[in-house]
Amino acid sequence: MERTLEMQLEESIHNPGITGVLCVDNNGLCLGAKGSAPLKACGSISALAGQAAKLANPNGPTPVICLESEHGIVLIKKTDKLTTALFKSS
Amino acid sequence: MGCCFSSDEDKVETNIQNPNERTPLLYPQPGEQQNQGGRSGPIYSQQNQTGDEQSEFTRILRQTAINVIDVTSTESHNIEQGDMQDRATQYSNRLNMVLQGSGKSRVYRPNLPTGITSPQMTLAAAPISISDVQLITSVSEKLANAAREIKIQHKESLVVTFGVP
Amino acid sequence: MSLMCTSSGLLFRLRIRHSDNTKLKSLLNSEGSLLAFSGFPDKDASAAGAIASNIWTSFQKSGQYSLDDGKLNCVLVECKLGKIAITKVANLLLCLCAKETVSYGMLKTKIEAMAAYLEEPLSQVASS
Repeated sequence: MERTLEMQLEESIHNPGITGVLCVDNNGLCLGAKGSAPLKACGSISALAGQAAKLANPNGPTPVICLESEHGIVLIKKTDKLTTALFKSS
Repeated sequence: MGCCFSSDEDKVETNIQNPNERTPLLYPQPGEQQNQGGRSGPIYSQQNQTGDEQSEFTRILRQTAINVIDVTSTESHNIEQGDMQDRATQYSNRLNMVLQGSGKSRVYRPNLPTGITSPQMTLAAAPISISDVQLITSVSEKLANAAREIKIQHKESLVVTFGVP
Repeated sequence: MSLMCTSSGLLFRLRIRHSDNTKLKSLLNSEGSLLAFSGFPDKDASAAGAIASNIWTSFQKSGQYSLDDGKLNCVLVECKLGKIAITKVANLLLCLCAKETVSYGMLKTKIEAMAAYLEEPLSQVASS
């Protein structure tokens, strides 16, 4: 059932530089997390992705949000029912 | 009269005197009253109902009301305005006391990366690489596909028929 | 012709392996009586069922009263020792009790998946 999701999360954290993965549903509820992803950020990530999607072309692909800081970046992308966040250290 | 129920036969059957736009066209049967769960609508009694049935019905209702402990009905919806304010003050006082005691600050901070000390450095740095964009796109696609698989696989039929002649 | 739900089939469905994170799954009627449950036998399923049904009715009443909307979709409850999800399937309630480590998103996705699966057979039985 959710085994595939767990496996994909595990797989994605093995990409170079990735320290955490977070999977959030459209209500801002956490579906799964791996690595050092802050669980409290679930709501913010879903909200950010929702706001950004409103700015982008509704027929085109959903935008990729990148939050840059001194210690690393956060990449956020929304698909129809799911928002994914990758935490990457620089 | 402009109402579907203006024929004489219907007048005999129901005791609705002045049908208006709020008069339901379908009357709930007495047996169906039980199934509605929520608030019960008005009971339209048939004229041929005897007083005995009515009193028996009220007796059963009263008996059931005594036997059932309905926790949901204990919440009172009609509190007096002054009472409400008193309670609100009391609750907020208690809450403040607990909050001060625990030393927790109630300032909400989202758990996203904190601000940067030298914005010029970050702003001058190269923009996000195309490989990162491809990475997040592929990962999010894979995860979305994986999330779609969270469903129950159909194996056998749950419903069987019986008593077929 | 009558229809009935195979109890073994229903129990089997309720016992679907949820990586052992879900402690108790139960199916209740609107009065809170237990129709089927799967889980550890030491858990008092009928009490949990009655409480879950009570919570659901309470929320639905409040929703109808204050929001003028009786269409309650899902109730998620966080307790000290676990999480609970309640949803409506046909004219019954489905209740899932999970460990505290299960995330809300996963719990909600699972109960939605189970409800979608059980909806059709249970409404067939309900309408017969």
